[in-house]
Parts: sequence; structure tokens; C-alpha cells
Amino acid sequence: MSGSAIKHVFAQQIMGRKYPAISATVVTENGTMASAVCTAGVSVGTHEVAFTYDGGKKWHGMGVMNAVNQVNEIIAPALVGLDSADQFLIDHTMLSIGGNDPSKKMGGNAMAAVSAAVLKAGAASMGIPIYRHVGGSDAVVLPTAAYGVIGGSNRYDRMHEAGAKPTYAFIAHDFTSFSEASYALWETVNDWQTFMQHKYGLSPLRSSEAATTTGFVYVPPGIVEREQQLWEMMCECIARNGYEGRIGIQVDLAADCFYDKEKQLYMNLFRAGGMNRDEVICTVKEMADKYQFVSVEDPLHEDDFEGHAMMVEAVDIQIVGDDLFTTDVRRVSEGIKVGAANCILLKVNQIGTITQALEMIQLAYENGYGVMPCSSRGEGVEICDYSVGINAGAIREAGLGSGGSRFLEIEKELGSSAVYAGTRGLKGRRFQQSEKGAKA
Amino acid sequence: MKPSVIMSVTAMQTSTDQSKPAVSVTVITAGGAQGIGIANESYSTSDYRPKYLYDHTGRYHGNGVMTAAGIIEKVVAPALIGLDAARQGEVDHAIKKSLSEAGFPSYVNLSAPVSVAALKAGAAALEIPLFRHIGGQSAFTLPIGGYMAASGGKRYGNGERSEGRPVYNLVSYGFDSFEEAHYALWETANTYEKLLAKEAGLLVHRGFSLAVPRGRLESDRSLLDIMSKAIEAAGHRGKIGIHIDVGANEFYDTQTGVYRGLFDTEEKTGVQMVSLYKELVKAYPLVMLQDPLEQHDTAGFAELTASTGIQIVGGDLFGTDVARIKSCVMADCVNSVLLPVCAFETFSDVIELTRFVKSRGADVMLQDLSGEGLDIADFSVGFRAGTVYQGGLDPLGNRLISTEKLIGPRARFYGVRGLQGSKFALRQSV
Repeated sequence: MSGSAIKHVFAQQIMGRKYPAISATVVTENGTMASAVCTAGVSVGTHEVAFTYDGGKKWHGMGVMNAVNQVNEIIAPALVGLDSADQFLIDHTMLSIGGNDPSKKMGGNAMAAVSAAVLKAGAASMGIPIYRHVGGSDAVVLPTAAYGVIGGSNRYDRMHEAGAKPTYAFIAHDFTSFSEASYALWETVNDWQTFMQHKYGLSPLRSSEAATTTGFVYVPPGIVEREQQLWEMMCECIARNGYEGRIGIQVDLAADCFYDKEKQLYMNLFRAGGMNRDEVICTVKEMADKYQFVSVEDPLHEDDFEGHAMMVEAVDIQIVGDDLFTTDVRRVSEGIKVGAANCILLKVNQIGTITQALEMIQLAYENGYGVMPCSSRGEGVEICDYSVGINAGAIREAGLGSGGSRFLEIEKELGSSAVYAGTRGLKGRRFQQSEKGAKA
Repeated sequence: MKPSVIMSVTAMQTSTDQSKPAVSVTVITAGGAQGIGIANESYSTSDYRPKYLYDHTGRYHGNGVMTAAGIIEKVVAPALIGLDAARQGEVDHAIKKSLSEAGFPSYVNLSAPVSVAALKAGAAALEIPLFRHIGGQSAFTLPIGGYMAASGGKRYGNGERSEGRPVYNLVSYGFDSFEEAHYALWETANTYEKLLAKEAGLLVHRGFSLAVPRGRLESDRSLLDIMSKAIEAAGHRGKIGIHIDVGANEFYDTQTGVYRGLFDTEEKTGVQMVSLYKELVKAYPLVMLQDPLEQHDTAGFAELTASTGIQIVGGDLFGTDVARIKSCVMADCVNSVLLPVCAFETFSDVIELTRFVKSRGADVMLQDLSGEGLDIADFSVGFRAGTVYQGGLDPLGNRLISTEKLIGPRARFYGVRGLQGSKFALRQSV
């Protein structure tokens, strides 16, 4: 371990998506250096782990100099000399700082940045790729390739901003390799973008090189009267390219953003006006049965475990919990007990350390749940390595662009060992039980 | 040159605890790291067991493996020199390619020991524990281990080839750490051994099977009674359970279609066996049944898996026939697959199979049968298996205790979640 021992740890404040972000750097004895970033989330669930922010007026209170100081003054001295390849030891050391005193705990953003930097440094100092460091020789699965097609939240309510939700993506599942799937995805997405450009003069939102969840065409108010019209268009596009049944649609409804607690109605979600829980469940069932939807995320508000369980009973496709779970162990366990979903969205940095993320994945897997990695807290292209490291069956939009490129590299490097998750990478009775029934 | 690059591959014939000799392969890398892989045939009589290449002449009743060792050195070794031992997929691909190009059909003792030797050399060259080389940072769970409380044999007049089955193991699951579970097992084992001496006049020699002379017991129920009493008396009700490795295949008479000499002197049909198990699950703290029925009774297996709610392990049911294992898992015949790692063609095949089994909501269980030795501890942790065959008060248990220490304060002992079956699931079906 001499080479992989930690020599220096330091942090600095850099610019994130909307607010400042914390960047941590780890240097090991054999000269390996790796950095990782943790940014604030665009939408932050009520139940998330606490990040440390500076408060006050500067950066609207969202500065992270306090977190930077935590790393430089407290975390760094505790980690120097430890083995960067022993992730559990490092994370445990950080999590133990302050003992049982919650006021002395390190910020989730400080620990997340250091933890991810340690993971990268550990892999690099051993000369192995990150995915292999995460999942060992067992890490060989490429997730189903997906790419964003529609975003935009205020189609039916000009006053309301819901973090650009719902977001729709094409997901190329019924293929035998990632490269084959990503080419089919490229064809279909290209056709979609041409179609949207010609028909409505709309083009995809630009995004930074580092983002992996990209490609969304923002559909403003006045284009359609109800979401069904968009679903038609997407399905027609898939059919036009000859991929019916092979490319599906995934959606992040982020229903919590549309929920009016007073009225107990989902406002302006699929059309102007309100809908109750039963109507939303019926509509999602329609999406799964009449359209090409294969995965639905956060279909109801974040505290409705009962409703989510009803959704799983009624709809046989993948149901992903993000705001529902906020990658929190207690919430996930509660969800598993009632059967509230069949897949967990994983924002690695949201949970804090890599160790806690891996513990969450273990909890999901041993209960038959899938895990869908998502980069929205600064994980960047490394989200692809995390995905292969945990053999995830599906990932949020990383099928083309920088994410897709990383997956192509990994698939090539794995050679004959590489496995494409394919349709079975999706959770839900439709994809898990069909083969079982046929061959039993 | 990278320290993990393969410099030499050598093979020899060695001795084993089973009746047939083993092929032992040593892989050495540029950095001086070494890995040894062993493959020998187990006592299984399953129709689905793998093929081994034997000398067929002279010594060891024709079961020598000098030919196999020679082929490995002449055919496989040259194909591996220069490859990176830490890249298992490439190594295994090269092993298979070299053997098939030289025209050898698939014999596991030509490929498996080389594959496992490379795996271990790869871990050593990276200076990481074997379990971490297999499962990466995701490998942090400890399986449930067991203590061999009693074994079987010919006491009811049949089972010549049973190799001491049915074997009864006490398995310790209701605890927060492997070490705590291990201590509870020690307490219970002591209580049990005293009770067994008092009530049945039988002595246990730790680590050895319990020889019960013919005529001493009327039925194995007396053993189950004593085990249950011991669990109660030690204060571990609901925390320690019983695993029976039945080996039913060895008691099944294919001519008459009945099981003879299993559990007692009475002959039983398959249907009677299934109802017997259902009754035993109600009466005793059974948590695992391994090969409870003969190898062709897939319907019986499926019924047990559906109705008992406990872990049903298949071994002889499908041997190492990957296609059959997959179809049995898909048909819910079992919820746990016995994994004799060194009896599969290569380690990559084991990885692929394990992923398949786990993605279907079932699990794998490691047992030292075909040359795996204590490495089943690392295989279990690397594959995050919920249970391991024994690993209680034995060297395997010691290795798991040190693995728990090595993983550190956040190591996770599976506890009850390590057991398959609806009885033990977090989500209780209503």
C-alpha cells in the first residue's frame, strides 16, 4: 500500500452549475493526483443529507468556503498516511469526526468531494480503472443507453418553474452491445431533433462538456395542449426509425414539484388543471400500456409511499424513486417494506461518501431493487465508471455525448467480458418475468 | 513492465482429501506475486457434474492427472505469458482459446486451476485482498457461517456414496457481526455437544463428521430435537437455525423411484418427502435445505421453494451445467445455487453465472468441494453471498473473522438478510 498512501488532501471553491461547488484533491505517495467536485443540487429534496454552506449575502448564502476549510483543516490531517485504496477506512474516518456531536460533523459536500477524490486516487495509484476499483473483476455490465429528448416544466402554467420537469429520454434497451444500442439511439435522437427543429423550430438545450444528462429539447407553453401529444410524437419517431419495442421512453415526472399540498392535487402536470392520485396512476398506466414507456421516475409526491405501492401494483414497468428516497437508508427501507418502487435513483454525492453509496446499493440489490445512477451533484463522467462498477442495469441519460463516449471506452476495454444490460437491465414485471414465464 | 504481468505458469499433480488427485497450478508475475489454483473432482454423483481429464492408466486407479498437468504447461502456459494477471476476462479468454485451438474438449481440470491461479496472482500483484480483487470496494459483507453438528451415512441401511450426508449444520444469523454470531455458535455448539452426549450417548469430534453407529437412532428427528433444544437452552431462538445438506440423490433408488435409508428406515416417495419437509419446517427451526430431493425432481424443488419460505439450495440438482442452473433459477426451483468455483470452466464463467443468479433474486452459496479450500471465504465476500457452507468453529470461520477485521468498522454481517426465502425477506408478503 506504500504507493497508494495519502500524502496530501486539499480543497477549494470553484464554480458549479448555478452556485459555487467544492473541489477536493488527493495526492498519494507514488505521485498520483485526483480531484472530484460536489455541487449543490438544482432541486433539493426535503430529506437530503445536510451540505455545509456559508450563509450570509455573498453567493446568496451558497458559498462553500466553510466546507473548504473543513477539508483543509480537519479532514486532511485525519487522512494523511491512510491507504487511498481502502475506501471504507477513509470514509469511516471522515464520518467519525466529531463523534456523536452533530454540530461537529463534516458537511455532506465536504465529505462527498473528498470521498470521490480518494476513490479516483486509489484506482489510479493501483493502475486500474475506477469501475474495476468499485466493482472488482465482477464489474462488467454496460447499462441501457439513454439520451434526453424533452424537457420543460411550465407548458401548462406560465408562472410555475419545476426544475425543467418532466424530462423524457429515449432508452435503447433491446440490443446486444452498448455500441449497437448507442448507434440506434443516435439515429433516433437525430431524427427527433430534426423533427422538432422543422416542425416547431425547437432545438436541444446546450450543456457543458462534463454533463452526462443532456439532449433535452425544451418544449415551451403553447405547443401542445396535453402531454399525450408529445408521447405520440416520441412513439412515432421510434417507429419511424424501426425501433419499436427496442427503444423505449423513460420519464422523470418529479411529481412532487407539481403537487399542491393544500388541494391535494397534482397541478398542471400532464395538462392544465389538477389531477388526483388515482388519475395520475391511471395516466401512468396508460403511458406504460399505450405508449412506449419503460421507466417512470417519481410519479407521485415524495411522501406518498402508499400511492407509490399502488403504482407498482398497477403498472408493470420500472418505477424509480428519487425524491421519494433521496438516497436515505431509512426511507429506502420503508419503501422496500411496502413495495413502493423497484428501482432507486442514486446521486452518489447526495448521500455523502462512496461507502454510504455502496451500502445503499447493497440494500437495494439484496431486496431485488435496481439502482439507477445519476450525475447531478458534480459526479461528471465518472458516473459511467460508478455505473459499470455496480453493474447497474440502467442510468439516467448517458447514452451519447461524454457519457456515451466513456461507456464505449469501457466496453472496448472489457472486450469479450463486457455484457450489455439490455431489456433485462430494466426492473418491473414486464421485463423481469416474461423470460421466466417462457422458459419455466 | 507492470508487476501483474504473467511470467510463468507451472502445473503439477497433488493430493487431496477427496479420493482423486488434484491438478495444482502456480502463476508467477513480473512483480514476484504468486497465485495457486487447484482443481479436483468432488464426490458428487450428479448427472450434471463436469468432466475431468484423467491418465486412465497405472497409478491412482487410473485417476492420475499427470496428462492434464502436462497439457497445461505445454498448451495453456505459452498463451498466458505476457498477459496481465489482473485482467481476468482476458486471461480466461486466452485459456479457452489455447485449449480449443489445440483440439481439447472442455475438461475443467485443464482450465479452472489456471484461471483461479491467475486470479490469485492478480490480487497479490495489486497488493489487495482476493475478495477485493473479485468484488472491488463493493465487497464488504460477511456471509452466515455454520457449525457441523451431525452427519449421516449408512445408519439406516443405504447411502454408501453419501459421503456422510445428510449433514446437519447449525447456522448463526441473528447477530450484528460475524464475530458475535461466531461466539453464539460456540455457545450453542457446547450446549449441543453436552446434550448429545447425555441424551444419545454420542460424542462429537469438532471438525469431523459425527459417526452414528447403526441401530443407535430410530430417526434423525432425535438429532433435530437435540439441536432445537440446544438452540433454546443457549438462548438463541430465532437467531440460530438448522441447515440440512441432504444429498438426497445418494439415497434415491432410480429403479423403484423411492428414497431408502434417508432420515429413518422407512422408504419414501418424492411426494412423501415433500410433505415430510413441510412438516419439519413447521416443527424445527430449519432455515436451509440443500439437495432435499433427487436431481431430476425439479417440480418437487419448485414446490419446496414456494411453500416452505426458507432457503432451498441446489447442488446435485444441476451440478455445474450452466444452462440447467439458469433454467432451474428461472423456474424458481431453488433460491440458492451451490457454487463449486473450481469445477466451472473458468472464473469468468463463475462471475457471469453469479450475476445471472443474483439478478433473478436468488443467491449463490460457496462450498469447498473441488479444490477451493479456504478461498471460499474470499469468494463469498467478493460475490457478496449471504451464506457459506460452514465457516463456524473451523479455519474458514477464522478466515472470515480476520476478513471482517480487514474490512474494518463498516464491515456488514448479513444477518437474517443473508438467508433466501420469503420468511426472511424485508418485505413481508401480506
